[in-house]
Amino acid sequence: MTGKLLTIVSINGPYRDEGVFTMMRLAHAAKEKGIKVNFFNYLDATLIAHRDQVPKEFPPIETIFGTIVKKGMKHPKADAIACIKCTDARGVTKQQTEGVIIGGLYDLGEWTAESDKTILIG
Amino acid sequence: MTNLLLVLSKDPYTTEIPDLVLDIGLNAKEKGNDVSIYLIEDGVTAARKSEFGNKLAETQKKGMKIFADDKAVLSRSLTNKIIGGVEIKEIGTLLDYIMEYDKVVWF
Repeated sequence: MTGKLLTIVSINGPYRDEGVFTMMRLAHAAKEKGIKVNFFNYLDATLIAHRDQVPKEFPPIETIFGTIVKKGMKHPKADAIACIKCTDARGVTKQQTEGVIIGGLYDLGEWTAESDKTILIG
Repeated sequence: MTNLLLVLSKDPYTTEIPDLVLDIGLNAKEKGNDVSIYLIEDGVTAARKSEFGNKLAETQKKGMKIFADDKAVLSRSLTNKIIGGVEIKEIGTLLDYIMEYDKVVWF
């Protein structure tokens, strides 16, 4: 499996269900197996990396996600993209955590072409 | 023939998605494809000994494999409450399947 590339497209926001945590678990497993991961945060998933989240009863997902991205799954600080139309619509373009790049569906197209597998968690 | 992995993350009592997953799986199986269902998150409740669990057991008899995420089963106290034949797997196995199966669809 080492050297394979997986792109994970996420569409749901945090704190609604376990989807984001499943994504994090898959990312940790991928790290252990040497599988590289791209994260494409789309629609409400662009809220995952919103800075300064302070949930009262849940672990702050931005911190968990940000730590994974900053450590780097493929190229440190360059393997997570938030969709610009989605971030603009939600007013969170400038609030993305360190390591998340603002991009678009053309980037997702390129990642899909490059990846061994692309899945959508939603 | 295609290897198809259907990942079900929704419970069977809120939406019709789990029924849809079974329909897709059975249709794909009838067309000669290899089909597996991987239950994760609330999807593991589909394997409880219940009316829907019986439906799932029927699909097993037709040759579909059913897997369930270990943490999702454990966190819902379902360890001894799910139908027979369901294989409990950890997240690394799901990742392996995602990379190995020809097609993966997440519901």
